[in-house]
Amino acid sequence: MTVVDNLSLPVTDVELAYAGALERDAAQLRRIVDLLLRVDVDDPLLLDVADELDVLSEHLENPTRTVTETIRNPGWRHDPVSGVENAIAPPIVLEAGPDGTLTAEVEFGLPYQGPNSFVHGGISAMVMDHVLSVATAPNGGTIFTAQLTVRYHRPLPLFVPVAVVARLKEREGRKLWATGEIVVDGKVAVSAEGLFIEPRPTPAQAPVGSDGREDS
Amino acid sequence: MNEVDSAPCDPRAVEVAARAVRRLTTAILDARVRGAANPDISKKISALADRLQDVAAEPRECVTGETGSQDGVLARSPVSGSKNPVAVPLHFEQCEDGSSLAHAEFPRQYQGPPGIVHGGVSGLVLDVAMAVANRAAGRAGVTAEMTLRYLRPTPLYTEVTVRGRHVRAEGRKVWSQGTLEVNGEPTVVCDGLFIAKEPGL
Repeated sequence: MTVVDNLSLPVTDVELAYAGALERDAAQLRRIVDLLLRVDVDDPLLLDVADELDVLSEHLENPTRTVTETIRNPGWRHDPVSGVENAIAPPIVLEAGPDGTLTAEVEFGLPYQGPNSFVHGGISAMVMDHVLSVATAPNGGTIFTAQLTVRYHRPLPLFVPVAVVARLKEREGRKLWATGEIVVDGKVAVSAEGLFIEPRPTPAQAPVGSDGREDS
Repeated sequence: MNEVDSAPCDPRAVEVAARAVRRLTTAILDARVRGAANPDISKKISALADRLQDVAAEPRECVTGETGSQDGVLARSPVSGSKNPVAVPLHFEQCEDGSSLAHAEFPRQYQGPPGIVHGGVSGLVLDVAMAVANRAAGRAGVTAEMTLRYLRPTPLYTEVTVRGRHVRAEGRKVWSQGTLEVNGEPTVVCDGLFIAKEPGL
């Protein structure tokens, strides 16, 4: 199995260390996203936490601190579904099987809840859009959703491992069709099909590497 | 217009914390784009998480959204929840014709293609816009099917208008529509089929 995300990993040592730091930051902040839904809403500790987080934001937001190395387009590291550097992403890191089918196992927690104990229907739609788009652009290239249909077959519970599956079905020029499912206990809870469009190659995109990603 | 989920005048401690988490989420992603020096602040964030962990309930005890002096389901929603950092959050209002309306600017954590709102985020917010309109029509229910059509990119950091509309019902089946608009132009349109909890009259 190949971790799809590998293809969008930074290439230089500096970038690698940098990306690792941001990934660690997001992972710890993700804990807080979850914890906010598990503490008393008026606990004064929350105000201390807010103050200290604001100090950290100010540090990262300081525009005078820069490094000269080019930070590459982060590919699938930034988005709200599989972005390991994005604290609001679960994150769902897909692996590609020999036939190109992408799979991931994930347990959704409280931040993704809709009805009590179940995953929010909109979250399932967001996940489906994302994993289908990755199936059409596994190397982290830019891809646009043209149409997406999501069907809900049974409720998707929180706190249990569920399988997310996506595959490319067909390609015709810049049009790509993909399908996918979210499966719990061997049963399809959510299924989706989507049509995706690759952007037209532009002169600005011409000098990028063979993986088609842009430099930022 | 009626406020469907009330925007609080005096934020609760958890809402203040959620705002700070949203800000830092954006800052981490911006740091990458700008190349900020010494981005590794994970030990500091971890220490704060540990302090919260000490006073936190088990996840399974929190599914009703009413931990401690907690207030309900809307506050925890990943779309409109003021205490859920996954949420922007959106504040839906109910228009006189029964449709739902919200305005939002999406920061970097909702990015798909560079500078553009992730297509899945559009699905997430439109599902809620339609559900809110159905609830206002007395036909609250669950999503059965949703088809989204993406007409043009929805930019980040730009005011987006989110609308949901109850279209018709037949027995327990409820049809709805939703749109995202930027500068008066639709960017994403959506048709939803929902199953109402109660059969229609």
